[in-house]
Amino acid sequence: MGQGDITILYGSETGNAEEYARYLKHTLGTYRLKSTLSSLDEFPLKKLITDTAFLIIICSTTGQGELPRNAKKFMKFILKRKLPNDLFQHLYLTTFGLGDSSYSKFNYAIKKIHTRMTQLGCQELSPRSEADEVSPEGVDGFYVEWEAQVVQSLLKFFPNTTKLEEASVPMPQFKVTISNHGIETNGDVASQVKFSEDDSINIGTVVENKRITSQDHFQDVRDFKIKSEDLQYLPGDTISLYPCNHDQDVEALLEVQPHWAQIADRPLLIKNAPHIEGGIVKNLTLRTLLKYHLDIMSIPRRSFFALLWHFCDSSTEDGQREQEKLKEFGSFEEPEDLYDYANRPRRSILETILEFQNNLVIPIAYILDLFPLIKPRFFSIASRPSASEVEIIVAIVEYKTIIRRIRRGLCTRWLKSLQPGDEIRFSIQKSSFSYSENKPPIIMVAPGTGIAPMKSVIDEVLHENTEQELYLFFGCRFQEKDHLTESFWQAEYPNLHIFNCFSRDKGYKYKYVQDGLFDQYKLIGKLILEENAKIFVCGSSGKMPQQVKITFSEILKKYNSITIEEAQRYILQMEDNGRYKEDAW
Amino acid sequence: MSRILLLLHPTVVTDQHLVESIKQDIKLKHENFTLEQQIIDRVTRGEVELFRDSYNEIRYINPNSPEYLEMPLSLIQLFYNVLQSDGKLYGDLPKDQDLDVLLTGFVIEDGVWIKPRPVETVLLKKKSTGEAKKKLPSFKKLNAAVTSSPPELTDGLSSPPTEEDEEVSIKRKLDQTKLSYFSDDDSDSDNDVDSFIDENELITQTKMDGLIIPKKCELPNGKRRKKACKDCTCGLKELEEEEADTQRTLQDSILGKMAQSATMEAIKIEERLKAKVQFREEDLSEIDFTVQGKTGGCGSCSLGDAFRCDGCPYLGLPPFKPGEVVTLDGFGEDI
Repeated sequence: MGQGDITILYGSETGNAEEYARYLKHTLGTYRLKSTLSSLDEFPLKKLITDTAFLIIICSTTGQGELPRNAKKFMKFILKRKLPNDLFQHLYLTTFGLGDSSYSKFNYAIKKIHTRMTQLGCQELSPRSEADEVSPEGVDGFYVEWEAQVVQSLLKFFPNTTKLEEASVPMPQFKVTISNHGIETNGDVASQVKFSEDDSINIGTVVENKRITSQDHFQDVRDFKIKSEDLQYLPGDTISLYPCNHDQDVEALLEVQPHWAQIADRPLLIKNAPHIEGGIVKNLTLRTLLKYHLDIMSIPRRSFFALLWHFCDSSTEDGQREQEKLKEFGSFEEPEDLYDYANRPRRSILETILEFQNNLVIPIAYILDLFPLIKPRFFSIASRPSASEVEIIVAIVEYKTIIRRIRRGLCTRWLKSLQPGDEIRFSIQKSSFSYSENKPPIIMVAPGTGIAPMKSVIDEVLHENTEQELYLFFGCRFQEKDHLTESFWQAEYPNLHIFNCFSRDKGYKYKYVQDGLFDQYKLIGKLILEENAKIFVCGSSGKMPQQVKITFSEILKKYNSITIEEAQRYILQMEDNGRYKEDAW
Repeated sequence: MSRILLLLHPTVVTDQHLVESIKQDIKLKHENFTLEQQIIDRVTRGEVELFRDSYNEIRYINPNSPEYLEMPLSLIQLFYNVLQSDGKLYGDLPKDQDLDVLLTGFVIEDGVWIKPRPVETVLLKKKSTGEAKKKLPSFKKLNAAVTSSPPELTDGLSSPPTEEDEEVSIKRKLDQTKLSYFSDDDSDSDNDVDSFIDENELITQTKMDGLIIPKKCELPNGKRRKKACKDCTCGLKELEEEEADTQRTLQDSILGKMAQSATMEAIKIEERLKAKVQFREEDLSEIDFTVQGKTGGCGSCSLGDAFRCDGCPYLGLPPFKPGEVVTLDGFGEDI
């Protein structure tokens, strides 16, 4: 068994599973155990045969028991019936799942993966674990115990390895160096930036970037129209956008790492470059890498600190104190401190480095190991299918924490700055939502920007000019301020029924979408039970999707005089048959 | 002269070793025969046409585990049709479809499907068929690894290698066979719903014993869990938000002249003023514990949030030194 035989794969929707995978790689590194880290879908699976003896999978469960987006291709592969039972007989496996036990399909993704991989011959490396986010111990509690067992089991296979001196840094996986060849580029790149080919990418031009909430409303919601060519999409599909950092943020980082500033525009070389969704920038320099690919505005995670403290010069008293603090943030000893410092105030990586700038000298070689990559952002398409235009509806994310500088979402901040005529790159993802087969009535529940995919469905049905019945329950705060649907459909359509719910307007009939639904229980019950209606719920995750589902169960109970359990079972069946679709973020 | 049809599941085709060993076995059992070889998919898709009543024997090789051997009725019927009377079907056959098999007209003997003669000729027993029957057990033995689970990929390893070199080469060969499952050019049939197992079935098969669970969470007495749960309903989240608001008010009192409140309007004013705060010694003495003579000084306020205490009025502000200029637009951006 060679040292390169440990593979850590993750399936991660929000980045949590990826963070634990990164941390595990780091921990193994401190035992001189080299490992390969990748998302499940980006890893060339042949390497499970040729380059892997120990396989560690960390995967979260999203939505209704679904796999994260970057684990779906992997799952599809292992589900192939033709795979022989001893395909992975040579592998020692352990898995770690991240889930939330308040959802009925708790940790389904990792259960499926683990069971199938065992069927395909994997042997046990160490016991698996299913972490529960809402347990008092949190995911950390599960992880710490599980990691200890993984390390212990691996050490049995590598009896000669020893723990690294605490101060030494493990080698970088993606080594970045400055090329000795090539010409220094002009620092200002925005006009001529090119990306390596990725055939899933479409190039489009911004046609419109319009605020559709009133100026005095707290939230800025934008309606974006993008012009392009040869587009193919259906209602329910999403597009992904590739945001980038603002120049002044990149500049601020370069300023506090003076050894970077000198070489910021020289060509870079990357050993074992990671796969970057949407393609990598062509004229690769430190500046372009930072601007287009490294998420310096994201919240620093534990694995970031676990590597960063090595780069803190501890030769002075100040330096020593700072290094100790960074090291503490990088460990599991005081998790609350890290949470209070980074997560709760939504502090960015950039701000963290600025705070510790006096003693930090970060080697170029490690930047790809240290900084997370900018991930594409997904938006539901709001326009009806068109080959030449696509429309999205985006709420600009801005809020305050104890840090005085306003927090802004990387992507929405970038989007807000886009002007008509600007070129953007995007790609389109298919969804499983089918609205048209047999033309059933559709009940749509859409608070806020959840309206986007509904708009696509409604526009398409109206365009088809069929008699398919549409029932939209739209929710927002004020009739006068964020009533998004108002600008969409001015005319009356006999088959489009809109129920508005305004949560902050005094005296309005319905406050929340749940109120509207429940008040209309006769209509809803009949549509579901007698007319085979489909339900489509979209909006921000959290309480809303669960509350709405409870409301539907209560409606069925009341309408049909059945028990709540029977009603819940019926809803569950609807989910399994694709009649109840939830799209929450 | 016997006509024999060797039907291979697509996954076997690349395993030359296995196919050869089966052919060898056929040779051992028959003296005079013709052998045809087909891939099952081509037959079921109708790309290859087989003729009625043609074969004395069919061997079907499918490396999937027993629970995945299920055959559509149409395929059982096809087997029946292309066999001659007394013809036999051997190999990796489903064990749980006997009823379908019998209804099609087969007779099942020791796991072998036999197409009986039409009733009127049953009386004319021929002894020649006995030959194949006798050899049946030996077929099974030789191919034990084929018919049992796990399937035959590892078959090459079952004969103990005499030298290390050989072991290496077998391993390489085995790897190569395995790698064939990862090829990207999957045929269309791979996208049939039937070629995937139902992932929901996996849930019921998941073993839930021996999972690692955390050591019991023991928060020190009186200390609440600091982080509010996702979807918090107990009020901790509101409490946290309140704390954040309080903190901003505290900051505001420090920044007094610059920002009276945390409203957007005040923020715009700050923007215009390009706010810079000068911490003078007397400002600090009012709120800063670091100034000598004040009790409870922790000495950390000026070091930045990472070092500040819970409830420190400076939380959320940049690090500073007494007398140093603190720029609120420190990152060249509006506040």
